[in-house]
Amino acid sequence: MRKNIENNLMTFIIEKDLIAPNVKKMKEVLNDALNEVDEIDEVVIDMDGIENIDSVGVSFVVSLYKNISNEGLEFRIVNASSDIVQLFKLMRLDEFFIIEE
Amino acid sequence: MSHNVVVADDGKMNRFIIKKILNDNMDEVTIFEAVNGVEVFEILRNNDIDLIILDLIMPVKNGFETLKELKANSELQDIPVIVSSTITEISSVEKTLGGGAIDYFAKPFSKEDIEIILPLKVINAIKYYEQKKTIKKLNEAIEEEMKTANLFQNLMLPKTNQFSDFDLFIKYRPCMGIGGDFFDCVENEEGFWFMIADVTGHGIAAGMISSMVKVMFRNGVNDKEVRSPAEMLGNMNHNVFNYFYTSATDTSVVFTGFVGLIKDGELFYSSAGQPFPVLYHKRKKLVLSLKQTGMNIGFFDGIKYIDESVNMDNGDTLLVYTDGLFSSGKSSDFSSWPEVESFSRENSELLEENPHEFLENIFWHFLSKHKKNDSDYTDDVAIMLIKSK
Repeated sequence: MRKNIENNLMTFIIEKDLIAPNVKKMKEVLNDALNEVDEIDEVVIDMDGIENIDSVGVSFVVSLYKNISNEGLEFRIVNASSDIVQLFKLMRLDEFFIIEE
Repeated sequence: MSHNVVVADDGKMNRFIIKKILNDNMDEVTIFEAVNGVEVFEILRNNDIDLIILDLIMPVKNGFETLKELKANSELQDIPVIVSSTITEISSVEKTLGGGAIDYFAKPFSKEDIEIILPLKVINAIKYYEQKKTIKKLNEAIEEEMKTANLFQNLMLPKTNQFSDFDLFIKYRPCMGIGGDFFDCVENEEGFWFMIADVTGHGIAAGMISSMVKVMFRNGVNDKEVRSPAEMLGNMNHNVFNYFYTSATDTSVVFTGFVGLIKDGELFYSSAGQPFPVLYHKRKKLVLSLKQTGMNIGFFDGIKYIDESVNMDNGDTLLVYTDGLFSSGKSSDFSSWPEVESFSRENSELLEENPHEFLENIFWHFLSKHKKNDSDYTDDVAIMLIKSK
């Protein structure tokens, strides 16, 4: 996972599938990164490298959204595959945050 | 803490020196003396021994034979053995250490051996044995707890032959003896209620939550205000926030679920993130996925779920399952959901004629895919077939 900060926007580029064996490590990295920064308005998750997601991965995204929105920051997902967009829409997660293909 | 040590050596002077080293360096030690391997086993029969210091060359039964016999005995094999010998060639050292001795020292003893090396080797060996015993005890206690928890979990599963209008076929494999997958069925005057759920994670914590899911499901069935599967899921979701006091940012109590109510030839259903169930229509020879889902339970309070319905005639069969079916440690994904439908279509004849065999086959189909990736199921797997009589 790579991190990029530019103009009060923090982008996380996720390079591994969002499935149970990968999520634990991602959580640690993301939490550490979020604790480090102050002047951020929006957090973007770039899912370009993700083909697969499971229920642990979906829980991870929702947990992330809750933490970030609780801090008063915007949250957005970009470059998600059409399958993942479809799943998130089926779960009606698009009612809470923006999901872009 | 007192320790019992056996000093096995046919040389009186050697035993004396070792005893002195032990007495000088250990707070409380009881020393048992043996002059051959036979006497070692006599001592072991009547005492709990923490360490054996074993000479290799002894009459009657030598150290090599004694070590071999000790390591072949499941009750004695964990006791650490330090071998002492005048034989210093490397092949003997290799033979004893390879045969399970924890350490080795050569005789005659040097000043450093007596003052430093031997005391440290003894203390380290005893510490190692203490830790090993503690771990073994803990493992036994955990195993016992798991067995009891597994028994309770099995008692929670529905009995397959208890329903008048439906046959039930179940395949359940928790990956740690107890799991977070859950299903239950209730037949009452309203119809046939059922639920399958998959608590995030596995093991004891997930098992505890799945017990709670069962209680919520049964309460929902008996609640006259709950009129549909979607209302059932909505109530459960709200109750998760009530019962578990989860904070606004927490997602520690999360599960997917699918609730159905079959009445008068119609299946009413609602889903909370569950992989799409597959329905087999016997008369039309048609296999279709119920492609509707909502948000996982425990994500956000106040969520409304959606009811849908589909015709389910006599002889039709519904397949519900958890996503553990796809999880192998290397891949576990939403993209595998359609494969359950295609497998069911290809095996629809078996699904109709022999549901038991169908369940086994679908389980082994996905397992063999995992095996190709040198993996195995790493999540709980639950598959259930409901066949309308």
